[in-house]
Amino acid sequence: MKQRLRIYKESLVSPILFRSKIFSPICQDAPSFLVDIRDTASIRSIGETKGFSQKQLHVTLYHLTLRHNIDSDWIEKLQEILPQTKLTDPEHHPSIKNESPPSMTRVFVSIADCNLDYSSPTFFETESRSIVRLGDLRFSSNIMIPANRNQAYSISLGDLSYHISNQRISHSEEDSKLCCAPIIMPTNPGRSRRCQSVSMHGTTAEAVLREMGFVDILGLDSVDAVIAVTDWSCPGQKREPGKDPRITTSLTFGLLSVNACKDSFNCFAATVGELQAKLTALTDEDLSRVRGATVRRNQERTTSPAVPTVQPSMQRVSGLDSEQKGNSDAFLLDGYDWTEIDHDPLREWEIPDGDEQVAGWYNSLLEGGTCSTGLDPRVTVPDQMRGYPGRIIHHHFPFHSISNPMSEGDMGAAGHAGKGSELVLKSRVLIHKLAVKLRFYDGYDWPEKLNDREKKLLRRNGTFVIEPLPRDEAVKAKEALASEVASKFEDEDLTHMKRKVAIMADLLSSVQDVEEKSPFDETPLPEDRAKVIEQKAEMRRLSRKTKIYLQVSVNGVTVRIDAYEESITHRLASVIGVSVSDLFVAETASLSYPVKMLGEWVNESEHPRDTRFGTLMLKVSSAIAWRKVFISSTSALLIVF
Amino acid sequence: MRAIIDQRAIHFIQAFLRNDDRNEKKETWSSHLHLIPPPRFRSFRVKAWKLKVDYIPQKLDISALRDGSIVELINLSPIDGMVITLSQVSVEDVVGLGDVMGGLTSNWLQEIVSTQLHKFLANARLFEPISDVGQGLSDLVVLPYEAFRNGEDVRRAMTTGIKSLAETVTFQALTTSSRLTEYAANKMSAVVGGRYHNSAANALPARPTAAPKGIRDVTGHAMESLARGLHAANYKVVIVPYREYNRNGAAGAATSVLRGIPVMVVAPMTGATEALSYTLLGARNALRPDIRREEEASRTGFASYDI
Repeated sequence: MKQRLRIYKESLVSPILFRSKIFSPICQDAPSFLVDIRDTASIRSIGETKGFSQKQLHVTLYHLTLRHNIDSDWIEKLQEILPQTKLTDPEHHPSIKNESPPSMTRVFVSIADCNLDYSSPTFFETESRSIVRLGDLRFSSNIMIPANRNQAYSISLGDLSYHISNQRISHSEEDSKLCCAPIIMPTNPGRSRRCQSVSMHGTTAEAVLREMGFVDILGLDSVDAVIAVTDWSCPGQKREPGKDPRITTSLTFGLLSVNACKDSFNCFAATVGELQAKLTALTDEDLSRVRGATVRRNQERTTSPAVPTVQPSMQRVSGLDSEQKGNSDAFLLDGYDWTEIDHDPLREWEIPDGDEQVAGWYNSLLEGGTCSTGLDPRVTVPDQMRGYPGRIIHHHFPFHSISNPMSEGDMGAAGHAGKGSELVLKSRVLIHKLAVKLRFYDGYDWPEKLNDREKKLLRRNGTFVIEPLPRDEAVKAKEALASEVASKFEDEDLTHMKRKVAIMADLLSSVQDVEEKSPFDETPLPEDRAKVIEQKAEMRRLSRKTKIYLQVSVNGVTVRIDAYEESITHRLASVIGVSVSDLFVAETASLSYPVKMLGEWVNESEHPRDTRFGTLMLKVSSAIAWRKVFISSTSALLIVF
Repeated sequence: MRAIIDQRAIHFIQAFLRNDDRNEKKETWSSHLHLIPPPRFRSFRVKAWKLKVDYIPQKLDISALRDGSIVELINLSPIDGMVITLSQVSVEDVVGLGDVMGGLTSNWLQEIVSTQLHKFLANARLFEPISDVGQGLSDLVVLPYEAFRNGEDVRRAMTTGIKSLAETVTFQALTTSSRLTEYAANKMSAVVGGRYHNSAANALPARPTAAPKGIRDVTGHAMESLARGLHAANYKVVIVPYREYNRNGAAGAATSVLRGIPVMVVAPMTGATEALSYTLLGARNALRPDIRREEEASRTGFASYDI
């Protein structure tokens, strides 16, 4: 026993998954981990000889914190410890396949009031700690054995919030409250000194986090996701490879909001950026694998018959146009023959920029309905065209359609892939009704972290707190700072020595840093009191100003992502379509009420809009690299198409 | 798109996005790794679009102008209703979204400078009424000529031209008068007490968020402005001297009365001017309801929890 306990003292123990100790749960008595397995008796269906078993699996996680360490490989180590079970393949073991009765397992997973705790590693440039709080996450599915053609999974998420701090706040106080902490996690003085330590006294989670210096920077109301996986090898309706995906994910979002000041937003962006770079970076081993894959692909391509390259999108790629072309031959609105479209769009006539509502007559004197020059509707019909009804008067009729153009067609994928390509749709992601609100406030969320240099470069009596000094004054301020640094240059060596000695002393001492202070040390002198009041006033001046902000709002976002299987007949990887029904940028910097700095131009008489299409529409097609992957002289990864 | 840009908002955005000078550390953690490069765009195309711009400058930086920054000239006068048409732009073979945005912006700026620079002058607040009325006058000549050339009814074309000119002149007259009277009311109010100060001496109430649709909608605010002006005068000439009389006697009261005489004259005028300005605005909105809707759209459409 003593030998085992000694191991803990010599090693650095870090909790991974534990019941949160810094937040108070809503229900103190509810267990953190609960599993219910219900096996209902076999039900004999009418007319069937074999039974059909049903099981229910309920898993509940409550009030847990997962601490994520980017360099930790605990999952791999856990897998090594756990016994490996070989998954039996029913195809190679037909006896197993035939003997096991069909069963359905209803799985319900519920996660409530849980947290994800991430601190940026010490080798990262950005110092930060992030806590993602998850209010409610529910997962449910009916898993059939043997597997059905269609399998669906439902996920619902509510109340997600992201809190960030610009320092690596120590976990020592939280760790000390865990069970058996004094035995398993003896205090490591070196570790606690590298991180900032703060005390926590608040009652609610938000109050505790605020006290610790966290800022609630991002919030997500709700997400509802339905993932449908189709096994096309099972008998059933025949698949159209270009239209029917294997996996369809449908997401419905609530409001995603970001509320930040300059310093908190920069910290957030840098934290996420560095993490993303680290997770997506390739090692030498990964790179050699990618190179091998591209070489193989290139070889397949050169040995196969000539394949089409990615076509530049010269033709129109909107789903609506492809629908129009397909339907123009036999389209009759409500069955009336006079509505038949008997002419193709006039290609020779270009719609002038800024004048989308023009209309014109087809010259039916020429064959095929084609015309060498389009007629300008703003002029009278010439003499040789007499017999025509006359001039065209534009009048726009607002057309409110409930159909979604993005849900139709293939978004021009066939055109991008080229003729002769065999498109097989791998997966489709649909996002509905996403609303995003980004609000950037004046002031700073951590004004106490501003150094003197940054404070001196801010204008004291400007319109905004973050307003910098004018150019000439900024130059003078920098010169003053430079001379201040120069005057301290002589003392630098002495200061450096003193600091070195202090660091050595800290490392060598093994006792907790509890200094006995004199009770009079905490009582400031009268002259110090004025300074303290001044500092507090300065902090209030520099802190967040909720009345002055810039807001970017994006509402009614619809996204469709079609990903295609790799093939030697084409290089198309995916097609993404984005439609935004309302987009505006508002500000309160100029007036006391919000004004839309940039938004939709609402004027039915000057330029009426078609409500089928959003304010902003984006279409992106991406292609797979087939040629080379190599590293440049500056160690940058380059992909050549 | 519709853009209402205040110079202060631009300064705020610049201050927010400004990169403070820091000693950049080298990213040593990624030295043995290969970071994924930004995406390469073979072609990035933006279709043609129109932008109607209002620009409200606050301050002209003369030193920057002296240093050769010609763009400062834009701060000489506000710009109203300038419609810019940006044609289709395509940027090809660029790496990263930053280069894409840079390419698009430079293309658009080049197009604006080469084809639409005159609009900055034509839509400057000083010249906008003149250019609009000039446009109306040209319609009076051009429309009948076009009708004659095309064999249409010249009389009808002349009627259309005259109607267009009359509408333009009336619209510009009402807009300019409303703005001038509003400016005068604000200046007088600043002398008396200020529009947004919540005090009894405030001669001007804040304008409603919703713009008036016509003359009938202005009565509420107009009456309130008149009443506020009289109230401010009453406060300065009657109430304050009475308080001074109770504190300091007749001498104090007399001094207060003397101080209050300018307010007694100016405050009712301020209220009346504001009422007139708002009435002219109502009349203008009745003539051009589409402009009213446009202006309202710039101030509404926020969710209730945003305000």
